[in-house]
Amino acid sequence: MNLLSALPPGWPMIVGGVFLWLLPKRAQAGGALGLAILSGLLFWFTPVLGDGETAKTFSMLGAELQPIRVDSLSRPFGLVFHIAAIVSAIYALHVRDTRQHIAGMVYAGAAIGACCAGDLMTLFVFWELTAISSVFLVWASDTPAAYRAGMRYLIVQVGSGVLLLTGAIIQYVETGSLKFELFVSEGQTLFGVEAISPAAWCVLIAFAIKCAFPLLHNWLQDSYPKATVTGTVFLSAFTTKLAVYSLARGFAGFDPLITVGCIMTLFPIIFAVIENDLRRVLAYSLNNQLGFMVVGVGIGTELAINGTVAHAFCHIIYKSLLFMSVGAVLFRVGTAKATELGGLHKSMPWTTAFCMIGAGAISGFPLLSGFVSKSMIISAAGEEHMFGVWIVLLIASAGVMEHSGIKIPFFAFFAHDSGKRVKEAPWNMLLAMSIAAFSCVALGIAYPLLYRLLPFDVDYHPYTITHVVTQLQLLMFAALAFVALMKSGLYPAEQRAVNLDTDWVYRRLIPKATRGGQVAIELVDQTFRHDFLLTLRSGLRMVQRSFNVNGWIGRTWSTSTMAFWAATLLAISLVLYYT
Amino acid sequence: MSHTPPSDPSWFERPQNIRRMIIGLVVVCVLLVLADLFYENPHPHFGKVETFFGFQAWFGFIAFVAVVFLGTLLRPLIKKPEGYYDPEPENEFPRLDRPEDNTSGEQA
Repeated sequence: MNLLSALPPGWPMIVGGVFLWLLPKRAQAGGALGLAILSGLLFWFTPVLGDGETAKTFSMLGAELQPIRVDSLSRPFGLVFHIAAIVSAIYALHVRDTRQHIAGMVYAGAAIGACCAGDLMTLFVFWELTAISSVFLVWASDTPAAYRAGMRYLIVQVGSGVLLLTGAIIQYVETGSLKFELFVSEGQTLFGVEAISPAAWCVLIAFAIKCAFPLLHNWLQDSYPKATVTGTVFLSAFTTKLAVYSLARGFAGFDPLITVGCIMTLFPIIFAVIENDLRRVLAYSLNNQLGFMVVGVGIGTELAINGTVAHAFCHIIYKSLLFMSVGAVLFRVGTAKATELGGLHKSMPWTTAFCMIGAGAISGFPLLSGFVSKSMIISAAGEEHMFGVWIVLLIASAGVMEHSGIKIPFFAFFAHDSGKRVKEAPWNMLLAMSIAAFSCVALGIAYPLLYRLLPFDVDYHPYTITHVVTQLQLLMFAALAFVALMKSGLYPAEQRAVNLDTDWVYRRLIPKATRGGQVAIELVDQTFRHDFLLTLRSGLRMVQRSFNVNGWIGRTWSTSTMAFWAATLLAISLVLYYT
Repeated sequence: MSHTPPSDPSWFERPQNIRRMIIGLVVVCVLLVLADLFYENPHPHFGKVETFFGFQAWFGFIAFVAVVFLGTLLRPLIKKPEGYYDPEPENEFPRLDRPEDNTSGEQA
């Protein structure tokens, strides 16, 4: 048992995942599910650190490491990561692709290990492991577009890891400690903002990349829609929520995060309105949900942090439910584009029902999970009397209703009938979706179970008359607005198109702008190569000429010449010795 | 995959049912606004705004319309044809709805 407790949580998935290829192909999916369940059981029984207790410390190369820290903040993330891993593994039971099973398991295990890391070096190792393992879920689509998107994804993710490592090293040099704790200290301010050290800035930017902050966000919408059907479900759960956890651990109460979070809730909803690829709509929606969590971290009160953790917990489940339902459509129909879909409720009734539960949960309908978690963050903004933040979060809530509550189910399963008649999703996909849908309902009704997992004891009651009525007003009038816009023909029609985002900068602008420089370099390079080759060639020709039969080195010399030179050498040496 | 014209309208596609659903939605909306008359917010954070009659109702409506409107404004700025980045058609998956084809997974 001692040995087991020295291994980081999630290890069965990492270690077992690597050896999944030893199983016959048919058994790999089941094996992956078994590993996820085993890891989940072990995690459930892992003792939780109480207040004031510190994790076990190991010394390595003179640095103090705390590889395992399961406390009240990391435990809920570890638990929901395990739930997501199990549900995703069930969803992928039909897949016969070794790469994807290994990548999915190692990725999930690494994310769990990372959220239980007590020091920056352990965090870095798992941080990079999530990046390297997850990219295979994008590449497994086996299309050229997916390959390139995977490359871009990998560069961004590994870059984030390098920044984290830089921050960790600076931190170690400056303070001699690698502990991963709150970087924000009360009191010191710079331009009205809490001052944080250069090390903390590096770490913050590393987290910001993984958390898809505005302008650093586009790797998410670029890569997730290009991953495999099952891969996207894995991807949607871990990377970004690991970043949310890390922010909550290191930067709770850091004021600029409130502004950043507000922008993050707003801009993706506008992109989501006009996006045609429903998986990309969900990626924007994911970005918007992260915004709510970042606002919660920025506010940093006990209620806000609780709200962030609760929202991450619920979000992972309903977001994977949405990705699963759209994935099932993609799996059966062959496309997830709104222009090609519609009327699928007739042939995929169960998938439709599960999708609508997910859509209701993300929109925050009472009795579903989003209602009991999002409201904590909005209330936290209210408690702190942040009027602007409160208004922004309300607008964002109406936006969520637009893209995830209405657009996803409406255009996939209703709208104009595309005439497509397909089979219902396979049994394992339906099972995975039903578990997620049940969890959405269960968390919405039995919310005290969720609240008990949260880091702080806070007395919060989501089901007050005021809250239920106002939330329903917001959602139902948003739905009414949708009907009004549709009836009046003002709702923008879905169009087959690519919408540009910040990825345009590094996919088009920079390559074009550096075109001139490239040409110059090519020119210089070509000239140098040309001249070098010319010199080399003439040298070779000279050697060849000298060594051939008539060359001055190669030809046969007469004995008299040799005798003459030998005599000359002797004469020279005689003169030298004589003097 | 069979491309049948929607000659088999489901319950959700019959015009009279669509009308019923819309009427139902309007009734629910009216009732929700009227509900504001029967309770009082015990501790509003932003007194004047939060307790304004039907605040979240009309706010939700306007916010929704504004988001959609901004989307339509944004579209002409960022819209490009589908093959803009990748010359081949973007990442369409092979169709997998063949009967009893649960074994080949996404490898097909």
